[in-house]
Amino acid sequence: MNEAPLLAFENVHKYFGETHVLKGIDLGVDEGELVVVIGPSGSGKSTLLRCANRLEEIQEGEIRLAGTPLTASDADVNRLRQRIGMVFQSFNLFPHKTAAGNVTLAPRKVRGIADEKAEERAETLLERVGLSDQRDSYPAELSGGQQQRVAIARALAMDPDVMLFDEVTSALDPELVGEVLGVMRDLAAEGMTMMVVTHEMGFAREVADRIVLMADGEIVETGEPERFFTDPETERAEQFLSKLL
Amino acid sequence: MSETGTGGPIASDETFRRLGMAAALVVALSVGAFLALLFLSGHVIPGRQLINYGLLAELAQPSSDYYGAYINILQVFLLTAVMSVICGVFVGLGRISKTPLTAGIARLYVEFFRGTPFLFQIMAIYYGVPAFFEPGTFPLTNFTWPAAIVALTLNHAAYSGEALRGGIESLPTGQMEAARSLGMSYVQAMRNVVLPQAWRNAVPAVGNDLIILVKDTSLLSVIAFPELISQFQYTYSQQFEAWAPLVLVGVFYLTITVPLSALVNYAGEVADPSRRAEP
Amino acid sequence: MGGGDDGTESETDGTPTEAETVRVASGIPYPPFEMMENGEPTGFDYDMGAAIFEEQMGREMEFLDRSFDGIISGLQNGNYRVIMSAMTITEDRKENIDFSDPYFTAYQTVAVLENSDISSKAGLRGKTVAVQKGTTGAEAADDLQTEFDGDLTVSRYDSSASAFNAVLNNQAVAVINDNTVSAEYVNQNDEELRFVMGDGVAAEQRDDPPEYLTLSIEEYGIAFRKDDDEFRERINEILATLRENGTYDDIYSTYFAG
Ligand SMILES: Nc1ncnc2c1ncn2[C@@H]1O[C@H](COP(=O)(O)OP(=O)(O)O)[C@@H](O)[C@H]1O
Ligand SMILES: [Mg+2]
Repeated sequence: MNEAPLLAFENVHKYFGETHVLKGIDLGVDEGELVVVIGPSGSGKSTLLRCANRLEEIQEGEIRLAGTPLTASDADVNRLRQRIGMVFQSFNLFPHKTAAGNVTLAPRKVRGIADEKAEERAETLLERVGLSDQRDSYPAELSGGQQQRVAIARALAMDPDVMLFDEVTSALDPELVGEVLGVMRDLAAEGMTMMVVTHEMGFAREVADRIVLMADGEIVETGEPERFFTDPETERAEQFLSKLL
Repeated sequence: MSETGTGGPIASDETFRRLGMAAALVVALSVGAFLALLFLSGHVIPGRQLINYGLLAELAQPSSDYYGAYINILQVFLLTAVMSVICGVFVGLGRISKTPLTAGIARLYVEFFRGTPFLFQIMAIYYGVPAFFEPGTFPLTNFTWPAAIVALTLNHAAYSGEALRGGIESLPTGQMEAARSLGMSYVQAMRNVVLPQAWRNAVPAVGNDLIILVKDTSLLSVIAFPELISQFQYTYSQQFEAWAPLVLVGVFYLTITVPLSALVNYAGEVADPSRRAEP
Repeated sequence: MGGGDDGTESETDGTPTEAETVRVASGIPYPPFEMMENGEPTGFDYDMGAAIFEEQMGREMEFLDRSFDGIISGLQNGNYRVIMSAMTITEDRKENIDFSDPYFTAYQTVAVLENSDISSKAGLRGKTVAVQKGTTGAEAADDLQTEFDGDLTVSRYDSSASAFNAVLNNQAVAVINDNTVSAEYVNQNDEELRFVMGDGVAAEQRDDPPEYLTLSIEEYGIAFRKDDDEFRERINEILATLRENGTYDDIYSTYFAG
């Protein structure tokens, strides 16, 4: 294990106007690690992920990717974002592009990769998420589970170092949740570094290396999944887990 | 009044439908009667021929000045349609800018060009700009065309810009965020993700504005631009005949606006993102 | 158009007495010939009418505002006695009505920039001239265009001011317009504008032609019904008197500069 984490949050504070949403977050995600962030609604989980991708700016502290400060004002945001894949609750596929078009767009436009090369790579990625026969379908022709898998392939196309998942199964019909979690499980097995916000406790317990519980903009407790779910240290964690039953 | 009745307090759906049909019929019959009276007036009212068909035939001859005027408005329309839509993209982007200065300037631009009559703008440009020069020193000796093109472009860029802004703002913010999260710059995300979709939303409004643009060329008559209304005024003052030149001018405008409107409807259907679901 | 609306009883029998009010029709506004000021009619025609009917004949004058395009039929219907409305004497009109001797002469003139190199009609060939839509100046420009085999561009503006602006702004080399109207502009802007000088149609037709180039001549007359000869001849005499005794010049200089 490296001594420095791949993705590091240090004393991160975030305000929306007067509202103090993140209150000094310290967290490190090591290379190859899968951290699951859980916590009640409104506790700041999404905001934390969005700050890591600079979709939100922080007011205090620092976030570093492999030692490079992401949050510095002179950081090359577009470059750093390529190294951080993000998958959203609402898929956010580009509706005017086919599945393959969604996957190839950023490699072609941002990296300048030749069309054929990008197509080939898209083929591989769509196969990896189980959608090789849907490459020419538009998002509106796909089920929610399929769309979310395309979104994962799209993020992977930029070869990110870290993948961020923000409640990616919350908008899905229950019978479609499994296929998306399956893809994430495969990714974890391949050693992808992942930070996952989810309400799927079964998945968290099974796949996570570490559980992070957030409440009111603070990290309340972290720990190995087994220990966390069977023997929580804090009252807050106990409360949260008891409500899940 | 019964809660379960089909009739509301005003009229049932069936009554409403019939009333609508009746109203439409009345309008159609009135228009038909008017047109019949207009075109056949010589037969209906003895000695009172509203359309001088001889003059109409003369004005419609290939050598007539009306064709020159028609070609002029077609040219100025095509040119300013392209230019105002291109400028409109920048106006729309300015309007949604997060930079207060840019957004503020774009807003002032739109407020001014939508908030003052086109007639005022064309006069301000054609008469106002040369006033900055000493008499006889204004360098553009055929200022009518540049003034017409600039005025129409500035005015309609404000409208296309607003149409495009509406198209952009109706997109979910997730589209921009997804594109940015992949490492695209703002400009790349706009070009490849936001604008192609915003365009589709904006097509009906932009198309509508292009039809208005055709009709706005008539206001160029105040700057001695040789267009159709000036031709009408000329014929009228020479011949004291209203309907022959009116019919001709009306037909000329419709030969542009009717196909344009069909094109806009077609483009609107093709662009409708919801149609993407169909194979 | 033109009436049937107002009392006609006193003038329909064609033999009015001296004491009667004379009803004069005019297409107001057409400054400076006829316009309203503070709700009262005024202008060159009004003052001429007052001089003729009130001062010289000692009768009352009623100055009526009538739409110009129906003004002749109103005269024929007997709704008023005469028309004084800057009306050009034309052969067409003479078929239906009679005119007094000309009481005003308008010339179509050419005004250019002070430093223009145009010094004759021929200098306009291939150039752009500005006119006011629907005026006799516009017609004179059309005739000139025909004379030049089409080698003249005529820009038509809504007002004479716009036409003069076009010359000041280099959009046209000359304005073709009535001498009276153009004289106002030329006098107001005498640093920038001038008339093109030289002989024109006026020199061919008159003993005392103006110095500036004239493209055409129009004469205005007072219009009468065909059967009103006695009255018309009386007024011709009065017109001659007004020219002799200086009244005409006084009225003229009230309204015109050149
Ligand atoms: N764009 C925003 N503007 C203002 N407040 C926001 C915004 N986004 C989130 N918040 C607030 O920040 C807090 C944390 O939100 P979020 O990170 O979405 O929580 P979670 O994802 O844990 O449910 C909430 O109180 C929410 O209302
Ligand atoms: Mg959330």
